[in-house]
Amino acid sequence: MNEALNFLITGMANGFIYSMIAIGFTLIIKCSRVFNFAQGEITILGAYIFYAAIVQFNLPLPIAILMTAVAAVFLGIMIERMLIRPTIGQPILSTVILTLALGGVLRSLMILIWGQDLLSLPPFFPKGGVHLGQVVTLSYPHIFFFAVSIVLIVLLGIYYSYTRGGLAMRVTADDIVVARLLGINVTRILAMSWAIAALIGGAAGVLLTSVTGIHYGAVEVGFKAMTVTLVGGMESLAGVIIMGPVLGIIETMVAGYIDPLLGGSISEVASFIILLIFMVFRPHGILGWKTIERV
Amino acid sequence: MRRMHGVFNTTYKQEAAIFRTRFEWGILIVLFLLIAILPHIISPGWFDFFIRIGITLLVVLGLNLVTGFCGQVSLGHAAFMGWGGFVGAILLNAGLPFIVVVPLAGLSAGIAGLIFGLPALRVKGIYLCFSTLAAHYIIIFILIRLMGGERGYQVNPVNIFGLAINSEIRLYYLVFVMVGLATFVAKNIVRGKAGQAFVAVRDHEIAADTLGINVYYYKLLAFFIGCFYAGVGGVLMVIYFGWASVEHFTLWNSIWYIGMILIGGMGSIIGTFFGTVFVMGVEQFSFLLAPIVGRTFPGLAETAIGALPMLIFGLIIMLFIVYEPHGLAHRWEIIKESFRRFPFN
Repeated sequence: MNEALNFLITGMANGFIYSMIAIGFTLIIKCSRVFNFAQGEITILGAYIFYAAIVQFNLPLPIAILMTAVAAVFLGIMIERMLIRPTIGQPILSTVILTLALGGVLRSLMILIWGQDLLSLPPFFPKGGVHLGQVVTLSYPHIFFFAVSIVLIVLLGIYYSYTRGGLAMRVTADDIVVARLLGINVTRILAMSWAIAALIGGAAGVLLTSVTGIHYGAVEVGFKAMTVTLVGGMESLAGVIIMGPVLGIIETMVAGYIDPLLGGSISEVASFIILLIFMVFRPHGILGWKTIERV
Repeated sequence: MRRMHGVFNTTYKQEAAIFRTRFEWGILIVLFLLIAILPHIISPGWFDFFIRIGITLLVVLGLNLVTGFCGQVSLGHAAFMGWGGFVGAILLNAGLPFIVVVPLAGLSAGIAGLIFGLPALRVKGIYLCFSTLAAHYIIIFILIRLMGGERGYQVNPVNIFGLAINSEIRLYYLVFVMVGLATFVAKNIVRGKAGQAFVAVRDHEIAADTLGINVYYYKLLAFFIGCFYAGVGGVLMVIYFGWASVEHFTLWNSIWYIGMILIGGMGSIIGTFFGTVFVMGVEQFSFLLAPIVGRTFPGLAETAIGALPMLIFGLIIMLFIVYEPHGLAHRWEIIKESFRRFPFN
């Protein structure tokens, strides 16, 4: 029981990270119908930039955070401007390969600049944690994970539902032609969706690597987040936010209980098996838009 | 190249010919001669390059049938290749002759393709990308866990009708004979009933269904054929390396294969050749370039140099998709057309 609760909390903390990365996917899909396979790389690149700011340039924490944010936004806008906009109207496969290639480029840039060693951020949190009752320990990094990701998700929700910019984004997601007719600057909205996605991805990267250390191999987290996006429903922010923790919990549970029984690392493919099952039986995910094809 | 205006086919034989003019036959013969004498003029270090081109051609031909002609994206083609390779390695080590192993391995990969192609009946486009991506991870997991892929298998040199394939030059000829056969078969599949159905399914599924084409059957058939090709390529790969290991079949390989058909031209057999040779050439070029960069900037670490090919390759793919979205086959058509109209363009 003790063990199970700890698995639950670890899984949920990981899951919120998945959710944050998956929000990046969803924002871009809603606006420009492009699935950004490079989101995992953008996430880890954010962490590397943060590392450069705080360790290599020795900047104070607030300025480092600001610098990471600016760099992530810049990266998102540049990707949209230079790669995605010229390929509007091309088949979906083109953008898939385009973003996959972009991921490869970003990954090799990371290796070129920062090498292949595991880098670690300075510890921000004291050891130990808060004891809830007798059995459950909530470590400080986990508390911080929950806090930051919930704050970011709530902020995004407020922006999305209550501001003019968010309204414009929702209109663009609904129907680009209508958005144009209403005088919304659609190209700016698209650029903005990429910028926000990169920003949230970068934040998730910093959170994730503050515990695990920074290594380019961590881009695999992008694939996990893809599963979250698809199972939650590609166009649904709510679905993605719910599904992240659920998948995180499933993963740690499988790693904790099924792996020792079978002697294999099924946890590594668990998310893909779930993905495949969903693709066959419910392709639009839990809360996604069910598309009906008209001739 | 092409026939002049006003010259028409008058017989069924002319209509059905793959090579229609003397010029095209000439190109074919020159190509055959070139492939035949190539091993005798290149230095031994280049065998690796050409054999890998041949094997990749086999796989990419299959992928182009699935993705280019039938429109079903497969991001797991390297895994299907690995599956075929592992089955082939096990069968070869069990003492079966090469001639039997190749179709069996192809068949097993084809069946794997059928199973993982099942989501294609329900989803398409981006969703299919993900199901095949998931298929990649699951197949590689099975290979590692259940078929001992971590350690790998040693594969003994094979022999065909008593002729041992023990030198690179013999393997080279074997690979290119198979490529020739595979191209012939692929071209005829594409020209035949199945190929026309593939194109119909790719262009408009519902319209194809209305025309009485069994969409599900042809989608699965495309997956089966494409994965069969991949399996055969996998067997050759395993024989070439003399060792079956999952390290030869990575997700990044699958992405390169898709990149090859995108650069070469989707839904074009000749484009497959252009794309494969071009991409492999770029890869080789960046491998040759990396040490030079290393000498120029001595500060870079060894591992950093290893990242260069991926960087260069990724950049080239991106430039191609942005600036030449129709692929090299399209450019080839433009060149042919301008030759045909020569003085008037």
